[in-house]
Amino acid sequence: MKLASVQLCVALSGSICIAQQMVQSPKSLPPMNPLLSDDQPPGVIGAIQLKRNGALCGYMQPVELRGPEGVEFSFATDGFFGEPIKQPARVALMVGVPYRIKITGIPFAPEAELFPSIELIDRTYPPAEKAHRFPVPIEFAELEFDAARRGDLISRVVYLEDSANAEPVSYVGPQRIYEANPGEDMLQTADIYGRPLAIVKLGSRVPTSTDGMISEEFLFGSPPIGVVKAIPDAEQLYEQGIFQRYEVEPNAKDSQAFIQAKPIVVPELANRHAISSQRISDSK
Amino acid sequence: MMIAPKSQSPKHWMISKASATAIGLLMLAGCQAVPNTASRNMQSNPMAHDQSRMTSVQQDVRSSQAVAANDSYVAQASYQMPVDGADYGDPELARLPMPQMPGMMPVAYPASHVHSERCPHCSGQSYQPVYANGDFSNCGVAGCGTSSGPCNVCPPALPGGIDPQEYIFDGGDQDPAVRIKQDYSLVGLGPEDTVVEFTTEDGREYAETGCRTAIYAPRFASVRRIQSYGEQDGVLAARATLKQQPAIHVHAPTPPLLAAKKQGPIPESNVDVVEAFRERNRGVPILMNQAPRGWSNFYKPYEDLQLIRTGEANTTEGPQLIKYATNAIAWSTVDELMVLVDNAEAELVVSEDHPEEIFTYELGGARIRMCKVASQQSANVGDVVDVMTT
Repeated sequence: MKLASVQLCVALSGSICIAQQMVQSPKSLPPMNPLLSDDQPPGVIGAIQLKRNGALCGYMQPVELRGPEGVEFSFATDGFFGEPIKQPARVALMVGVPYRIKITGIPFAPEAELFPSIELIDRTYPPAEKAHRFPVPIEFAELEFDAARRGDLISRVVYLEDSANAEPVSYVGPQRIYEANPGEDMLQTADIYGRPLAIVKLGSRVPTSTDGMISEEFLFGSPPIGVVKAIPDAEQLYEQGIFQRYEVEPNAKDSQAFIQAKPIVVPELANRHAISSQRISDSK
Repeated sequence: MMIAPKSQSPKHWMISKASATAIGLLMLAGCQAVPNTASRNMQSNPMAHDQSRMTSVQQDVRSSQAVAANDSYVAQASYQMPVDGADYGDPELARLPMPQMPGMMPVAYPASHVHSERCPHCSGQSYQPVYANGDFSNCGVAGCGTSSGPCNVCPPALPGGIDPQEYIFDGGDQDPAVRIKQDYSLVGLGPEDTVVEFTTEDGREYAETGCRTAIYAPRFASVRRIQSYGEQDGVLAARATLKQQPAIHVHAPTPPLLAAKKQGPIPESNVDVVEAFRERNRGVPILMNQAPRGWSNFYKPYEDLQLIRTGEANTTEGPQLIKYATNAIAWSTVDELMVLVDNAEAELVVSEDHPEEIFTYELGGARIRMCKVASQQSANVGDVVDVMTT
């Protein structure tokens, strides 16, 4: 009887341990099927995101539309496209709502007009009042314009790189693009590398107009567009007194500022302890 | 300002940083241990933060700006903390609360110490002293320091609920912890770690950890796919074909007895078998993965007759043929089968009103053999009745 009770206790403790491991270790969960895929029409994924996270409702996310030199972007208001804005165009778009914009001024086809859709499915969390300094960049390349005019469909999922897994290299230039393989879900891929923020679809679809007014279905109801304040450049900051100009002395070698600005020469890892030992012996 | 742990008297000290080019980085500078004009200029430069944002990962590799002061190695970071709006030079900004998200916890900094009073650096939030045994005075900022003690460098007050993916971190000592081996080499120094290594007068080596700093530096990238019109068409065709011709008949109650029927693979345009073989993704029914899904190479039970398979009449299959042909007659709406050959009505020589009818045509030999069978004779609403004519 005692042995049986001991065995029962061991069994119970073992089961509790297993239960704790299952609760504490989400990695032990079986692989899940993704709920969302990239073949949804514009607006579907954003609507689902708003249901899942109510904090996204009504948030105006600053974005920056970029393109080749000369490209202009127009945004729809009350059923009409407004005045074109030269790139880079910074506006605030509502999260979860699809937008239709008009692209003109394409370098190799000045008469062409393209109407991509942009859908923000998440937002960023910059420091307070700094959102205008960190817009989500949405870029269009000449290659994409050319492909769209041929009738191709270009889909982009802009994502925020995970800083823990991002490639630790400096990169200056066009946005880094990962070309999705055939059969690869772009949303899942973006979710692996970071956090998907926006879905951009560029094709050759033209607006359907009735009596001169573009269909609201084509414009997704002309959602509201916010204004993003400009980022002041250095000259403006100088004028505002935030920046201060410093005069550099001609013979600044002996000045304290030069000494402080002198880059440090770090000894090599191999001989730094030798230097350290030398200093110890000198001090003694 | 010298680093003076309680139990040791440092003679000199060095800064170790996990960077290929710049070892001398220390958030001692954040501690303002040595007041530095260049560093203050950097903090008052609003564009500096933008630069750190644009080249976020570059700074993650710590392209730090190091300065020398006196005889000690003192380094100063080339970026700044993201919490103080005034430091960035925005004239309209005062210190504003960071956005909060419910249900999420701060991402770092255990509450090792909490200011009892408002501190201009951390606003009373939790922070971790740079050196546990340090003896720092205030950092020089007006109002710094509280009655609870001097203000060791306040790390950036990470707001709760902020996505850590948008930040890069510098300094501190993440696991595995930094250790000094007997050969004076450091182990456990990660890319983000910043430690101070110093030797006491009695020759002992120590390593202390710098403070961990969060830098708001989101970097964006994108996943792209360009689908041509032909590929789109191929996808639609392939999917439609698969729906119309399922490869497996799940309704078949019995397995096939003989697989001799010749039937090609389910058509899928733009087949790229090589590509599918290389990627080993034959299960993905999209775009260029055009490998055949399967073959319908067997007969259902009601049509698994030798007369249908090979055209040879087998007397042993008579009862089955009668049964299934009777089923077909039950679902037929015509009174009699009419046959046209070369736009001419065939002459009916023999006509028997029962299954297994035989027609003979005087056209120089037999040209057609027709057999119609059905799976069942009666069915309820919603049932599926299969009929086959060969």
